[in-house]
Amino acid sequence: MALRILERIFRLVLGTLFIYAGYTKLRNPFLFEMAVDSYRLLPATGVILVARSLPWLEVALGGLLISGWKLRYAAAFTALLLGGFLGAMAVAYAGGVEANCGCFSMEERISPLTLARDSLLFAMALSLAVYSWKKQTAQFSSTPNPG
Amino acid sequence: MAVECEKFHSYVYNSEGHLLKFSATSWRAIRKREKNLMRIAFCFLAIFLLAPAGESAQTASPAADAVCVGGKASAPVKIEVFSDYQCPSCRDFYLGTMRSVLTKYADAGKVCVIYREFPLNIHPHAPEAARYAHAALQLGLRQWSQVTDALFMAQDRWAQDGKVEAAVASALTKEEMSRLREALKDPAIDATIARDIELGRQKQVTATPTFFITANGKTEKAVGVVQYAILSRYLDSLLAR
Repeated sequence: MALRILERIFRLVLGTLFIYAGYTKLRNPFLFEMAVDSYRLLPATGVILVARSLPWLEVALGGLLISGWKLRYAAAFTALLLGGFLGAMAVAYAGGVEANCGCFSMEERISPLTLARDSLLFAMALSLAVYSWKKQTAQFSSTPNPG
Repeated sequence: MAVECEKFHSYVYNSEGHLLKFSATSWRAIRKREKNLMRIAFCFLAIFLLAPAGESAQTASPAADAVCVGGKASAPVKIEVFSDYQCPSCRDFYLGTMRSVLTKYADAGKVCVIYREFPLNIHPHAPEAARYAHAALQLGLRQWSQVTDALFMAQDRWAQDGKVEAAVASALTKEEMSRLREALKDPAIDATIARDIELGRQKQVTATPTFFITANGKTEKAVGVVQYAILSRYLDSLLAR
């Protein structure tokens, strides 16, 4: 029971944050392009591709997490995405690159605080993915074989 | 397709004429899925309705006393850069991006570029370099441009040996250099740099380069190095409005 409540809380928190994050980026796509570029990891075409597709992906994932539809896939993909963000931020921070986080506002610099926040969200998404996959596996194994 | 409903099961003929049996649980699952799809559609709709065409922005604009090192003060777009001459990212930003902005946008009268001094504590020679650059600006925009180019291009060298003057001298004539030395005696230079630093703190600048782009009465803040190809897309979008 407690796990189910926790699952709902994680879904709601991550879903809302993802929708909000996507929304802030869609409001000013050019600023988000500059934020992605400030990581200094991609050429200009890669920056534009990522900056134009990522916000939509975030909104879609947020919607899936809140609705609970295809939850295990959505949670796994969210964990993968947050892991990717965390990796990119860690590489930029460790390399001394002054980059704009581009997480929720376009003015936030990468700092230990943003890294800690992303780590927490990553842990939430990972635990949600593990729980939803386990739950699905348990449901399949408890269903009697029709043959 | 025909649907016949019984007490617990439904039978559906598919397109090939096969009879498919659906239990009440299956129908519930389908209805649940439809509800979920509706929720997702609602989320997307909400995003579209809530997202205005404009953009979030601060309302602060560059100080009135600011000198455009490229372009005119009446330009529709202003870029105010807080920079440190000893910072490698500032060097990359200036040489890779801002020089192109100066020639392609500022010279065409589309953009006013303002450079503010923001020497960081971790860079011991940055304040001296900032003083030379400000003194060069008193001589003229061409001299500022030449000194800034020289300081950034020779950054690795003077950051190591501390010979800032040698880097500056390589960019100017002897006559200009003597005028520059005279200009350096002006206490207004230190006051201007101190004012730039204070302005940066007020604007919550904590890293360099940090730049503010002002257009249509709105100011946006950006941190870090941005490629010219990316910055020019943003400038074009602002100029097109």
